[in-house]
Amino acid sequence: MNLQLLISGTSMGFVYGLIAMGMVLIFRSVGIMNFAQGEFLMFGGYICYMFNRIFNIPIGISLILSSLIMGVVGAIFMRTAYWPLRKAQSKAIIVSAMGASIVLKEGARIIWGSIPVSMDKVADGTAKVSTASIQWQYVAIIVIAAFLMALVYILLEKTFIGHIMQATAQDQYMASLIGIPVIVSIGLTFALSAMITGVGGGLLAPIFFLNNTMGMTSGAKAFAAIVIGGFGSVPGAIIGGLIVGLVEAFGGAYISTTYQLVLIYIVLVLVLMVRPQGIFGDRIQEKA
Amino acid sequence: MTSTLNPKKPVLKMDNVCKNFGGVIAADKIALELYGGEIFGLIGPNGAGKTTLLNLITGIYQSDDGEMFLLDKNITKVPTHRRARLGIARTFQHPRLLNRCDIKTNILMGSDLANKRKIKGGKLEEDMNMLLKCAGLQNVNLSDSIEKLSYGQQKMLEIVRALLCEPAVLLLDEPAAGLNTKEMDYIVALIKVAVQKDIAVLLIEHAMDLVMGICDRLTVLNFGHQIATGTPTEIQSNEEVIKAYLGGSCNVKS
Repeated sequence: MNLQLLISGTSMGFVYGLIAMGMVLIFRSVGIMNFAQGEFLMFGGYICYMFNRIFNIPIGISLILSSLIMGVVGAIFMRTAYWPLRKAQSKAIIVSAMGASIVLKEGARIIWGSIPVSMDKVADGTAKVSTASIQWQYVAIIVIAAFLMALVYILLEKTFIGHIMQATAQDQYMASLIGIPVIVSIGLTFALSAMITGVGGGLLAPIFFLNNTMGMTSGAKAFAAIVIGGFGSVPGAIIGGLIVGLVEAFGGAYISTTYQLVLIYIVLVLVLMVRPQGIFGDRIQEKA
Repeated sequence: MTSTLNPKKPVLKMDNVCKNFGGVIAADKIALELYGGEIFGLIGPNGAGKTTLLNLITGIYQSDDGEMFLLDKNITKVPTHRRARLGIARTFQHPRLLNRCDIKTNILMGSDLANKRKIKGGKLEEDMNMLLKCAGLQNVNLSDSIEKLSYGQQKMLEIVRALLCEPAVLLLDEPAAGLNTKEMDYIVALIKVAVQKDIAVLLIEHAMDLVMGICDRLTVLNFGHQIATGTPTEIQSNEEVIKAYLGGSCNVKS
């Protein structure tokens, strides 16, 4: 077992997990796959870059600030791309999300240019463990992402706001009848989703350069993670993300970097052959 | 008429409320006055517009014409969630509960929003236990999932939830449908609690014994028209009502 690959694969897996979790939160709330989720990652990364490199704010604070701004972006996204179409067919909302993803992508190009950029790491340097050298940034990604996931779990399960969001996700009609303002509740869900995904962008940027087209591929990988983990399941999104990250790391090292994405989809197909509902996919039957 | 018997002000007042779906008239100049502590029945054949009326009261549908007042406040244009907080609670023909949350979360969901009480408040806990006892649910484990409850228990739970919101008006959509006689008794007990709390209860129900037995007044709807309003005895002897509803169709259905 190669420790170096294990750590980098796991940390990438956590980033995919953050994107996938964001997608699942929105899916459970409004029943729509958000195809602009990868764009949240890219946009969050750029906002973090702006704070860190243009305004020279330390990376830790930049991450927090960018996450807060992504919350606003998520709420605006919900109000403009989802809310006016909430009673339309889901196809219409998917198309509008794709439109919004173009707006975010090209918006980033206009604001920050198309030259790939980088920024500070949360944790610099490498650690030597026998023959392996591990970048501290990878460890930081794992810690921060796991912390965020735990935070989201506590928010949803233990707080009153979380209960309101869950109630709205399960039955909007009933939620409004017991006094929940549905638009606020869904807006909060989109904001939360954009916040956790946006942080992922800020964490990735120091390792891979940021560019405005990175959203597409990371979104596709997160989507694969969701299908592997089980559609609509939050733990499934995290486990699926880890599987995708590890397959990518080990496949890239031992088989071929060119075919990394192909390997992910092969695993996806294999999982679906054995367990069509995904690993944690019991919820989908309940929904149907 | 009744307003002279009851000197109180109406809790809910509907004034000439109309609603059309395309060419179909679902509510035609509905005029109702509900008083606190009163059980008001709403009956009529299937498709008469009973549930539409409920949806108009809760704000799920916007009325095409007419006005609605809750405790003298004009609520005609007020959105659903604000109406709920102002004191309109409803239950459903088929219980709508949160299947992924435990029983306690379900019961308390809404009460905090409705009357701004803290969930952990002692009085709320006391009220909840009292209501659960009335509903025959005192022995359920509150941390269980909703799916462990029977259909009847779920319907009871909805009423408990609604009552904990301390509404001014409680709208019950066929609370007794699909329940056995024992469960019916619990429903009646819960409705009696609502009356004691001076809540105006609007009851949609097909079980005629129940409606005629506990309602103070009732109104009969047919194709969106109010064909008669009055006490159960008045309604039972009303020619038009017998023609439209109580007569033939009742026997055929059972």
